[in-house]
Amino acid sequence: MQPRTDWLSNRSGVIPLGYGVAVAGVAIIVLLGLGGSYNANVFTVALGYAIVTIGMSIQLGYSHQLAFSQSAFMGFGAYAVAILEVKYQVPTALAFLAAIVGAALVSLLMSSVLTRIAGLALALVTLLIPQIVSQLATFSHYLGSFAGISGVQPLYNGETFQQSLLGTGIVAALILGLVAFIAVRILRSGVGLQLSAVAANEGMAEGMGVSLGQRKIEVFVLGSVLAALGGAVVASAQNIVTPDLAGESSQLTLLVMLFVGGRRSVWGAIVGAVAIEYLSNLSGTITTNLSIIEGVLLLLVLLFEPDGLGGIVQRGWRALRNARHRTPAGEPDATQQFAPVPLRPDAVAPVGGGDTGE
Amino acid sequence: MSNFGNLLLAGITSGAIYAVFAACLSIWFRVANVLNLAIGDFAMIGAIGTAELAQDAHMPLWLAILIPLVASGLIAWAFDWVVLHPALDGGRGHSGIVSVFFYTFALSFILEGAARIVFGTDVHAAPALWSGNALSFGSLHIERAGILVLGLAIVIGGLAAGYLYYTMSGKAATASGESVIGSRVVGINTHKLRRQIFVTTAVIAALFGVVESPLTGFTFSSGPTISLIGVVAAGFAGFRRPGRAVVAGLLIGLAESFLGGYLSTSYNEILLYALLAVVIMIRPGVLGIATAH
Amino acid sequence: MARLTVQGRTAKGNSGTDGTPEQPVLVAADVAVSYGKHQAVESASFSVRPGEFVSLVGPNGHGKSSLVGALAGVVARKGQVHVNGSRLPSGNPIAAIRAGLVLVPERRHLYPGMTVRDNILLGRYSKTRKRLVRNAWDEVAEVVALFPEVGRRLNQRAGTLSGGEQQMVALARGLAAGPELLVLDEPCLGLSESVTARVYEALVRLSATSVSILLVEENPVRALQVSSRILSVHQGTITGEDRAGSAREALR
Repeated sequence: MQPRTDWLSNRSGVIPLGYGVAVAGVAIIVLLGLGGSYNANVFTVALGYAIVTIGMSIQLGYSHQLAFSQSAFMGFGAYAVAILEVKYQVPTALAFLAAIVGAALVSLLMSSVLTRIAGLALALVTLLIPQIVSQLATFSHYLGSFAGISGVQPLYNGETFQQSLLGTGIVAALILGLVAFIAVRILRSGVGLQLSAVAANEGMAEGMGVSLGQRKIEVFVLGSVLAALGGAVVASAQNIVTPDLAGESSQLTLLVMLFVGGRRSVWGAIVGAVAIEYLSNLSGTITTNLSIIEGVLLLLVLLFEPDGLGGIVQRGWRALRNARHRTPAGEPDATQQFAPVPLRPDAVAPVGGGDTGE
Repeated sequence: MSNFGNLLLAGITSGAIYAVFAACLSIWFRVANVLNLAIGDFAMIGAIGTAELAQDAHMPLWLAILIPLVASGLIAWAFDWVVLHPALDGGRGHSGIVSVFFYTFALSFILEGAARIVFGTDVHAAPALWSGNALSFGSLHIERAGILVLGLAIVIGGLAAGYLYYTMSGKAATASGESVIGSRVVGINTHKLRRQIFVTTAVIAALFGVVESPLTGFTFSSGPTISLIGVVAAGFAGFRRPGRAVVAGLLIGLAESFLGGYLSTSYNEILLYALLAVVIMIRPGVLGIATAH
Repeated sequence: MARLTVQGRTAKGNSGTDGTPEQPVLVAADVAVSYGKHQAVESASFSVRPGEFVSLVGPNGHGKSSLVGALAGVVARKGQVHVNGSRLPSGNPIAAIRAGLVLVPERRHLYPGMTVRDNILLGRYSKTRKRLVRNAWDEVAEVVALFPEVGRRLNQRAGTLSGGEQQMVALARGLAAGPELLVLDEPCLGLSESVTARVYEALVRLSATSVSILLVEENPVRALQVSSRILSVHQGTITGEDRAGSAREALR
């Protein structure tokens, strides 16, 4: 039962790169299949949400950081890009860069206080933040009040509407691919191992030499920056940003996406975002009844498949691989069973089955 | 002075509302180590259910109140049977963060969606139980429904405290939340207690929704905001202290009222949330908790 | 592996005054416990007679705790368990307590945020559950008298006590139920030598009363010093039995 250190050393750059390229590639193929239709736009918005949920899977899924402020940062990114583009005619790329840097600074400032408080207290504070941001946007004339800010530039300005739509989707897919690459790279690195250790048992992780405070701040900033980036992509795809994007219900939708997809899997986070966003645009009946459907989906996932859609596929993949290696079915191979922490980000639960209970 | 007095009265009234939800939340958390994020949705069912039955179906008021209360109890019972029991007792689901938040979070979604289908999207308020203009004492004014809210809050708070501190069953409820194994070896049926208190707090929330809806009005989506303030108030009391949760609820109500009265009516909610967030960040110790149990 | 079924023998000569053989307080027949595919207890059969002090010894992870958990109803089992002649259903701790079998679990499992008084009060919950708190104290007061160090700390939170004091509270909580058979699972786990001695002293005092004791102990030397009969558990099966006297001789 030699640990597969090769995952950590020589191949550690190749696998994440493959992951990122595959994500971007599949997304682009889907986009081309959808053409310039309305669904292509829905899919592009979903890609934006997926960027956010990838960050959440690192924050909530891997590190067990109970932060519920992602929708607020989505709003931050979206409004930043919207204001810069619409009011100050800043080019899109520059506006994105500013949004990311701004989110990084704000979240760094917040995290220096926030990450010192633990568990449920952190959850409480971060639950309040989306309320504050969305209300602020609602009442502020500068931020366009209820109507929000319209006229946000697409990510790609084509000659026709269809070209812009498709181009925006492709740029979003490339950004998502990059984000997936970064996420998998982090989770496969030593830092990823440390995060799993923190999730399993903070005290023990600190005893093992993990610099707890620093890791927590990094995770918070990463999650917030990805949320801002995702929000900016969503605003660019929809050409408008409204206070709802930052609010509580948007946060709830993000959580459902994460859980349905699988909170401990980069892959699952993407699929969850796409599936829920697709569902919510499928038909009038479904949109009206969306919260029931989301609630039931969430319950089914919690009760029957804790790792969500990502977990189902993961198990299928493992069974397939076991069959190929002629490992008898039902007996997990030793490396799987005894791997101390998830070496492959979408594979195994953190030490102790993830949630540390009684 | 009269302005101050009226703000005080309004603050106490809305504080009493928060206090009751916070108390319901923390009593159940004490037993189950789970936050009932659907508590506001039960209040919504009580309020809108009564409004629809009394005003549209022309039922007598007592029946219009009784049916939503029974429905709330049944929903809570069924949710415990179908979801919470297998999830928390069967060892199938999770402990930790998932069970603390997400089962009742899903319930909240389902109730909200169902209410939208059944009741539509209008603002509803149950008929006033004590109708008439606001009562005036000199320059002070208080709504009649506000007096009912206060009275009911005191009665419910008293009963809850009496149950927890003076009955063996209340002690057992507390013990269930402290140690499941320790409770089972002395013969406490932790599941039964958790279910009983879940159902009871759901019915109390629904009743409270009926009483307070003339003051605030309810839509299908009113639930989460109520739950959120309830959770925050319960959090200030360390989640498992109903008595302190009541105090926290009252203080939050007062803070909201004075912020609205003296600073800004449109920004008062933001200021309130920001104030709460800052208090938690500066003094996380007030929560009396470090991590999830 | 040989499966040895051991019949209970009266060690203390504590048989009834009328000369008829007494009914055993506990009879376990073919008790088996499994967690999924893992068989923790294969097939354990033994009995305990009134007034006996029986110890289950054996290395860690060989099913001792699962066995007593199964007897007390906190772990699901197969096989028959009779306490005082009445058959216990599997997985029902309340039935076990009513029949007179009370478990003091491994690692104590007190209610750390509650007072010592409440901890002990709740020990008698099975008999006082419909009462008010103030009407429930009288019946447990005499138990507290057995543990003077606990009696001094009634209003302190259980979580703030030292390990030894917590174990005493756990013992008092177990006794508060009025058991005929008290089952103690590793009561001295993680306690210092001097504290262990105090706990054992309390057990010896207890065994002088009418309460029968079933003790799970990893350390056979300790168990030998106090018990009247030893059962050794190995890989989920009871593999041997010895009257404590002869074993003590052999040890010398």
